[in-house]
Formats: sequence, structure tokens, C-alpha cells
Amino acid sequence: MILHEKISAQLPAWRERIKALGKDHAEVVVDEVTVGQIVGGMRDIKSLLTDVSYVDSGEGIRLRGMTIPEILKKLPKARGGKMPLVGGLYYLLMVGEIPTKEEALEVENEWDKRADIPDYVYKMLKDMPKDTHPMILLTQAVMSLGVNSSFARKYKEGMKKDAYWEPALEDSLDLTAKLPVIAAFIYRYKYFGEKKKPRYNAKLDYGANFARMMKVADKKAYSDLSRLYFIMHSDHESGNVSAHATHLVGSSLADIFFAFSAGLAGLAGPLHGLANQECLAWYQDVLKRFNGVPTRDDLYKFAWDTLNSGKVIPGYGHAVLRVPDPRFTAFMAFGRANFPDDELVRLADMVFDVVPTVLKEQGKAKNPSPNFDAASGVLQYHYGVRDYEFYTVLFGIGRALGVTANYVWARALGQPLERPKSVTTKMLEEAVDKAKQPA
Amino acid sequence: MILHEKISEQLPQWRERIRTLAREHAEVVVDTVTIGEVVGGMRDTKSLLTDVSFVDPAHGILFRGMTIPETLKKLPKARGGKMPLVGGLYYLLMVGEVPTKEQAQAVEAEWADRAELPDHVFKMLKAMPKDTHPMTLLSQAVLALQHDSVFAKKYHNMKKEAYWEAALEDSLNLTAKLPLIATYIYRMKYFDETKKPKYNLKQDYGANFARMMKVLHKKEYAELMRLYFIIHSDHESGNASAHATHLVGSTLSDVYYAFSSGLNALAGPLHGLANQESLAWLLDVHKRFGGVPSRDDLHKFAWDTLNSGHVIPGYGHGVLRVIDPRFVTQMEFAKKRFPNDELLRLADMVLDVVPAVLKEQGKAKNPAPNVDAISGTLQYYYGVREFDFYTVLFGVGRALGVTANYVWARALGQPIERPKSMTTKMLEDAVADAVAKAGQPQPA
Repeated sequence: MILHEKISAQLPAWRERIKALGKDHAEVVVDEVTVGQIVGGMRDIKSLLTDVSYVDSGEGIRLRGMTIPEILKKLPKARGGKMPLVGGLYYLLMVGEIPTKEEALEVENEWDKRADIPDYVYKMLKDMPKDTHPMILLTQAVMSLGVNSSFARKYKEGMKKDAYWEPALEDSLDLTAKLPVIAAFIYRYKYFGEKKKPRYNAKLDYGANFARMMKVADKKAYSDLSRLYFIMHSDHESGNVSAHATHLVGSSLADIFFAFSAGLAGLAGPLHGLANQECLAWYQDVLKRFNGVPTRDDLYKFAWDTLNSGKVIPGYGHAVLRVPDPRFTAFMAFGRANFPDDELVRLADMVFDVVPTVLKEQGKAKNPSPNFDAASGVLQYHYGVRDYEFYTVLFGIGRALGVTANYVWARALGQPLERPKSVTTKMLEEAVDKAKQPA
Repeated sequence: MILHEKISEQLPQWRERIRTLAREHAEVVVDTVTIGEVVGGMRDTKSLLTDVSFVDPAHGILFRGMTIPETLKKLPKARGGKMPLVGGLYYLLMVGEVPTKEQAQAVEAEWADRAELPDHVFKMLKAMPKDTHPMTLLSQAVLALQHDSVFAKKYHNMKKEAYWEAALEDSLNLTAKLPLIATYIYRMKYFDETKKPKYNLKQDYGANFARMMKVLHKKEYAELMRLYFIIHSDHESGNASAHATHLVGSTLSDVYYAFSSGLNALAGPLHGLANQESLAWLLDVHKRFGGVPSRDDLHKFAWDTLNSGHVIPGYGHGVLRVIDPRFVTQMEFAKKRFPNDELLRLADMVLDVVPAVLKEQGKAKNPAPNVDAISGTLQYYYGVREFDFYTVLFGVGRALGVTANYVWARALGQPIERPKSMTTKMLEDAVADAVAKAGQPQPA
């Protein structure tokens, strides 16, 4: 397996670097922790380690050091599409290098071979009440796949620590291969009452398979969107809750099925995975109120009304970025290229033009630019995927790519059990008192 | 509901304290982060906030400031038993005060009211393959309960100040249902029984658990499980099950999502497997010597274990400088009730011999045993001998602490957890910086 070979080849050098840091430089201070950061939820405490991606506040996410435009340009493209093969992105995240087309196709091939879902998964999903949230179904399905975890089996058999990453990679390939099938089943089952098991077509890539199993009308265009969508959602360094929860649970040497279930449970939280739905709802609200795309002036006024009523404009204002999220830019470019006359795209464009100005005038937001949630729902909606609560499931499929790459590398580099320290309110108050005393 | 009233009363003050810290003292530095801590998995970085429990190196875990012996002494006891009502412990964790007997029973009554499982939970569990790990089943069942989450249902029409109330409702429902789920899994998986267990309103949490498990000595096992659930309930916030529950909950996921994540962490061998490994080691010794060995034989065997590169599971503690009081209480429990049990005698001898061996070896910071060195022995004695089920028992207990934390996190408006990650290169750059600085002449 190509990913196995490529990671093997790099491992000694990486292990040496981590060892040197842990052994020779453990005492070097990289950050301070303040009361504000603890009360603020570990806010920005430099405390996690990953080489898969990094968010720079001035330019947005870099995956393995590459910007979003670079990635979209350099990764090998799907046949008949303009967007990269998802398999190529997975190669990039896992290996740290841009794959050739053959290498990307090899990952796609691995997915083909592993895309079958055991029958009990379907049965278990069908035994849940009809109105169960799709994120619960997805999480339960992922957990149920743990029955066949290579990692759990080999751990029991007493595998050596150095070998942990190998079954971790096996499990990760199995998991990512099966996710589109599970998600598409949940979609067709929940919203259309279909119980037929979707089948992965070995001749199609990840994105095209997903589009076909979702049974959207414009399969070709939706294939390209799915490729873009999964790539954009794949990773966002390690501090976001879905990535962190996967890492935290994985650090106890739980298998990836347990670990990623926790990541999905984090994603299901409104503060994490709901923003794209809220954005779309706000757009719909605008369209309804103005009976179509409003004038610039009307929108300007409506945005102020939203703010004045104590609400936020969802999708705008980013805690970290000081520029428009490049993932937003890529989504909007996709929308403009493929359906420029769509009302929602025109509106989203106008909002992008108007709202940052309004937010600047209001003066509250650190960065008034949009994040990717301000565009992703618009694209799904256009292709007929209009069940809002399902959007988090789509996010989850994409996010699996990044967190599994991190999981494999965490095992490969022997990252230990995560174990921060907690303090009590009283201790913080005592620290404050101490700080107040004259030196 | 008593917990609701009691928390309500305290809230204004707590909110004020947290607000003051955040608004007026945000810049006060309480810790530094070193490369060793980052590479070591956030190791001991002061970064989480909880008032429910704290691990004191000199006394072990403190629940709301109280040691384990104090907790066991002061909490109201179950009828006909010497161990406290689990409902009283939940009151203590949630409210921060020792309840009266009536208050503890009010919590027990809440549980009895809520201890029913929807049919789809049983159906879903039965759909899973026979060899599914019981922790997978437990975690899936918890997710299945999400269907009726009060928090999720109310989220879109609820003010931030009210989050904790729905969180408390969910937490009571979850903790009420866990004994039913766990015992159903136990009887289904190991005894092929698919009859739904029934919670008896006249019995407390521990007695119900013992009865539904269908162990032989129900009365004694009820006592053991009261003790067991209480001592496993909480261990401040940095352990992986508590942290995962908190982390996922911080996105405003309901407690079913959050606790399911906590269970997943507990399922990891580094977190929840130690009690099984300890017991396996004891049984191994017992088998090898055809019974309890002599002190000398054990001394030699312990050295053999260490020399072959293995550790002696359950011994050595990263934080404590004393014997884990959770070990001590279980040991006392066993000695009172079955002093002649061979495994217990062996465990006692291990306590006598192994710390000395570890000291001779000189590697362990604290050679004393932790809770895992004994809990399996007690379960084994009462006939619960399916090792992979022990983590489920741990999970039922752990729910008490993490749900108390979840409720308070919502009550105090704890925000989404969002630490920052670095790359290896950045750490290396920090080293280069530090080296360069060290090379510069010091300012006079």
C-alpha cells in the first residue's frame, strides 16, 4: 500500500525530531497560560502538536504547508472534472507530498476495495426511530464498524508500540472508504424512505461515487462539488473540537472508530457544525423577505436590523482569520463558475460585498470577513440537498480525512495519553491575589 | 427537583466569581507551557477549570473538597447497608454539600422515576454482532438515548442562562438509565438473556444494579457497587473520559453525545484497561504458583516481571504520593467480607511486596498502588468475571462526575474549548530561539 510505504520511509527522521525535542529541549517554554485562557476554554493555549495542517491568521489554512489555491491547482484532477481527486488530498495529508495521478488513483483504489458495509450496520440503523438525527446515525454507524477494527484486534494480540500506526492506517482506510456509503444510505433512508444498500462503483472516484449514491439530479456537477467540499472540510489544525476529540480519545489507544465517533459527537454540537445551516437559513430569510435578491441598500439596512436586534450575521466574523477564509473564496468561485445566476449565489455575493462593511461600521468584530460556512450551504442547496441537518454529516465525511491522518501520525510518533491539569476557581482566585501583591 | 433548587441558589455567586476572573484578571499568568508538555500530551498544563473534584497529591481525590474517607463517612447510608447512597454522592457532586438522608433519597427517587429505556435501545443493541465489545454497545446505547434529549429539543428556543436546566434534566435521565443499559448488556452478552431489566422503585441505585446483574450475593454486591460507583465517579477534569465529555459538551452537544465520547476514551486501553490488566497479572501469579505464593517467590516473580521489560499493572502513580484511597477502601471492604479469598490474600501480599521491589528498582516516582490494583479482585469474587465488562462498570460510575461537570459548565457559560496547535518546526524554532538567547550576554 502506497501510503504505508511512503510513511515508513519518513518515519525514522520524524521520530528522531520528536525524540530530540522531548529529550533535549523539554524545558523550553513556548507559551504562558493566563486566567483568561483557562476561563476561555483553553483559548489559544499552545498545547497541541500536528504537522498535517496549520491555520495562519493572515492567510487561512495550509494543508501540509500548502494554501488552498495551491492545493486545488497542484493535486491531480478527477477524470472529466475540474476538481482534484479526494484520494490525492488524502495522500497529501498522510504523506506530506503532492502525489502523481497514479499515486492518487492508488488511494482511490484502496477505497474501492474497502467500501463494503457489513449488514448489521444497516440493520442497526434501521432499528433506530425514524426521526433520529442523522449525526446520531452516522456516529452509531462509525462506532459499529469498530467490531472489525484491526487496531483493537492487534492490540489485544500484543503488537509492539512501533507498529501501532500500521493497523491505525488500515482502520483509517477502512473508515474513510465506508463513510460515503454510510452517509449516502442515511440520506436516502432518512429523507426518501429508501432501504436499498448503496453500492460503490470501482470505476468511479470518491466524489463521483458519493454523487451517484446520493442520487442528486446533476451527478456530474455534484461530483465536482463533493470533491471540493470534502477537501475544504478535511482539516483545520488540531484545536477545533472534532479534531481535538478524535485526537484525545485516540491518545488512550482507543481505535479510530471510537476516536472518530467522539470527533463526530463534537461536530454535532451547534457551536461547531451548525454555522453553515444558520447561514443558509439567514440567506433564505432575506430572499423571502425581499421576494428575491434585494438591492444593495435594502440588504445594508437588513444587515443593520439583524445586528440591532442583538443577533449576529452567521458566517461572518472569524475568531482567528483576519482575511476572508480561502475556503469561502474557493466555494464562491465554484458557485460563480457553475451557476452564476442562482439567486442564493447572487445573494451570497452581495452579502460578501455589504456585510463586512456593516460589521466594520459596527466595530465589534475583530475580522469582519466571512468563513466558509457563509458559502457551503448555498452550494448544497443548489444541487437539491436541502435537508439542513444533513450538512453536518457532509462536514463529517470531509473531516474524517484530516483527523485520521492525524490519528495515524500520532500513533506513528508515539504521542502519549493527553492529560492536562485542571484547577479550581479558588486556585485561580488565589493566583490573582498573589499577582496583586507587590513583589 | 432538589438539585435544580440547590444549584439555582448558588448560581448568581458562582457566575459573579467567574465573570470577575474573566473580566478583571484575564491577564494573570498561572502556568507556562514547555515543549515537554506539548510533546507529552498537554502533560500537566494547567488549562481546565472544575470545582467538582481535585486530585490532591497528599490525600488523593477530593470530591467537593472532601477526601474519600470523609465522603464515605458523611454521606447518608443505604438502608440495611454500610455504604452511602449513590444518590447522596450525586447530590454532593452537583450541589457541593453533604445531603441529608431525605435529600439523597430525593435524588434516588428522581432516578427511579426516570429509569426506563425506550424499545429502540434494546432493538439496536440486539442488531449488533454477538462479539461486539460491551463498551461499543454501551456507547451506542447512550447515543440512542439522544433521541429524547431535552437539551437538543430546547436548544433553539432556550436562553443561554437556561442551558444548565435542560442539561440537568438530560443528566438525570442518563444516569438513571445507565444501570439498566449496563445490566442488559451484561445479561445479553454473556448469558444470552434478552429480557428487559426492571428498575425497582423500592430499592436504591446500588441495590437495583446488583439485582439486575443477577449476581449471587445481591446484598453484598449492592454494597460493593455503591462504593464502586462513588469512588469511580470523578477524578478532576484532565483524565481522558472527563476531558472528552467536557470538550464535546463545550460545543453545546447534549450530554448523550458528550458522554458517549467520554466512554469512547474510557474504552482506550491506556485509560480503562488497567484494572483488567491488574487482575490478569494476579491470576497469572496465582496460576503459576498453584495458589498464593510465598513472599519470597512473589518477590522474585515481581522482579522477573520487571526484568522482562513489563510493568506491574496497578502500581505506580503519576500524581499521588500516598496509596490511592480508592485502593484502600476497596481493600478494607474485601478484608471485612472475604478475608480468606486467595486472590485477596495475594493482592494483599502484592501490596506488601511490590512497592518495595519498585523502590529497589528506583524507577517509579510513587510505588504505591492505584485503584486499578484491586477493583477487579472484588468483581471477580462476586462472580463478575468477564474482564471486558469492567470498563462498563467504570463508565456507569464515571457518568456521575462528568455529568455534574457538564451541568456546571453550562451553568457557568464555559465556552467552546479551543486550544492552539503548533507544528514540529515551530517547536524546533522555539528551541533555536532559546539557544540563541542563552548565547547572548545577560543584561547587567
